[in-house]
Amino acid sequence: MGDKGLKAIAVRGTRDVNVARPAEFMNLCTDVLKYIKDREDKPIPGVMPILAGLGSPQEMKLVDEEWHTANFMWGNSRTRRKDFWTKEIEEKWRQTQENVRTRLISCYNCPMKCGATISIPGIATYMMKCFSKLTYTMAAYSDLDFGFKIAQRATEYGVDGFSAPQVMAFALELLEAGILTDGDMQGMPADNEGRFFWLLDRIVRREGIGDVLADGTYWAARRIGKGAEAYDHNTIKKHEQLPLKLGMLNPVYFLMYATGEKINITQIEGQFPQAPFPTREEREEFVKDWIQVPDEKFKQYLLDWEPRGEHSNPYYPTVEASCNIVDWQEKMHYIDDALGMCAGLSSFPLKPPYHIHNYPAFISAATGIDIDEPGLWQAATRTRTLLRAINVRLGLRRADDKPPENHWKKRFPELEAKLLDEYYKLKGWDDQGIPTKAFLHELDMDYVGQDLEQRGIISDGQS
Amino acid sequence: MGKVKKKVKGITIVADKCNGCRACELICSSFHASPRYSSSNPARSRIRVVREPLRDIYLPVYAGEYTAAECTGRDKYIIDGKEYAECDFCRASCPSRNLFKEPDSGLPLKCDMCEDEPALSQPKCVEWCLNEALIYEVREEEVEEADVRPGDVEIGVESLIDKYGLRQVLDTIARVSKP
Repeated sequence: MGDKGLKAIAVRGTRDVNVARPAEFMNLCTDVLKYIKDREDKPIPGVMPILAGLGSPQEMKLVDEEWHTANFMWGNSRTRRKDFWTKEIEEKWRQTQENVRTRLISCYNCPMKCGATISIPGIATYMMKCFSKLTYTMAAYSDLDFGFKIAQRATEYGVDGFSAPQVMAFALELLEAGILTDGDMQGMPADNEGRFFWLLDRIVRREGIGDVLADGTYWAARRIGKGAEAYDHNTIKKHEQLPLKLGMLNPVYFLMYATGEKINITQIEGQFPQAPFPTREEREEFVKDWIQVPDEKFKQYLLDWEPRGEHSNPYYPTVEASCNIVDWQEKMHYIDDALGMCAGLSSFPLKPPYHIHNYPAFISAATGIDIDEPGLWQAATRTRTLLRAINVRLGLRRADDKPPENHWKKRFPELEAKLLDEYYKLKGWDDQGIPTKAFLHELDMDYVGQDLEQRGIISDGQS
Repeated sequence: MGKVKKKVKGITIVADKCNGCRACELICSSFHASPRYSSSNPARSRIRVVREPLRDIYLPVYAGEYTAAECTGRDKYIIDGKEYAECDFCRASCPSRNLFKEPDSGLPLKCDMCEDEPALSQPKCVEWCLNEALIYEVREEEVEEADVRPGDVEIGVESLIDKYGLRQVLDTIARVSKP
């Protein structure tokens, strides 16, 4: 899609959607609906509020933003404000949110309410969901009121809430550093919020500096030059990442940042808790009804994972466990994509209603294609391998598989190399991250191997 | 004719709680598919959500009586600052709009409260609305003994007669029913 400059393809149908085995399909739907209702009544304890339930993070419903505001970075992914969230801020932001939120809304035929209509007096109503509530707010070191207002204009323009605020914060950092000058910003207002509105308008109209910034931080840094590249510190594979800078390397997240080819961490994480639970009792409680695991060993990984000591980051989960955890999480996202399912009820939240054990039954009942768990797993493996092969054709290699340099303060080059080595082996790739001919043959994808061979990317001795 | 007590089923619509997911439309069309649940298509649903998110209008309406002629209602209602057309609240399958008509045949659709054997505890749309925007209610009323609700076939035939005339409908039935 990126190659073609496409954002999305919208399809509107007016005919019936047929189901192969209706009675069986409805029984499955009824079970899932019951699970969703039960799960909503039982949020997961010990995780941040927005991750306790199902759906996309419930940021339109919830006001508690301590986790984002105190852990994510502000500005151009620069400043952590651990003490930002106070009772006063919470009350002020609650009023702001409740004043502008007209209604919580759903996507088609979904029982979740991940989105909301936002109506600010004097400007047109728009729809919002998830973290876009805070991206402009935090990039500008501003508050929620500003975030809602600028997101309205960005939404009307069709500009995203993820990379756009980051590239603006990047530009203002360059101005402060003298790499960009007042001459580049002629006409920009002096006030902080006004500068973001001004930059948004320039980007949308591709006027002056806006034309440079519209390509995103990575490309803008290279067009600007004069040392601007050093301020492009939060992109990998040329794409902006979440504004996070942490202490100790997490081996699971290292692998996901390094190898995720859907480019954003939210498109690969989800099934496994982001951090260990503090006590053994909490872990035992969590695994009791963890039916979604593909194998019992995942429960053991979590049970043994501790915040400190021998069984903590970066050496635990072990290399093997980390590879398996990433593989499971990623597979679920690829399955969702292939099915057209929203990650919010499957690959993204903990303990979701759709998982590897019931998906095959859904697919079989809906389509009449008899598929079992190994078959579905294999299909996801083929999809992932094909995507890797396409990116390899475009030049992707091991050197590109890395997190932002400063994502963690404490790095472990030997461990990281081993993680990548073992992950590549698990994926059927060689040490450069290129799918092997033998593995492609196993997947009945010899044609892909032949293509890579014809292009001189692999030879009999592989790459 | 005397009066008899009869259970009258209805759905109370709490529009403030609707979030526009339209699960009611999907499950309704699916329940009424033949074979049951074999397909879904909101256009075949007997409940529709009048939905304009940017004006904060979310109004589920379930299909009522078939009517051969459109009415004169063209009024507007402003409630809490939001403007509704009179038609938005109307449950009729009528000639002035495409709502509550089978998309293939044009025959009128009418909510039957998901009557089934064995009886369901509540209509499917109510069951699948997790926001409690639809509330099923049964109350007892005294009605005329002969006041029997027409079934789907009767409504369909009536609408065909309205559209094509009795003679053409009878001729057609005679022709297609020949062995």
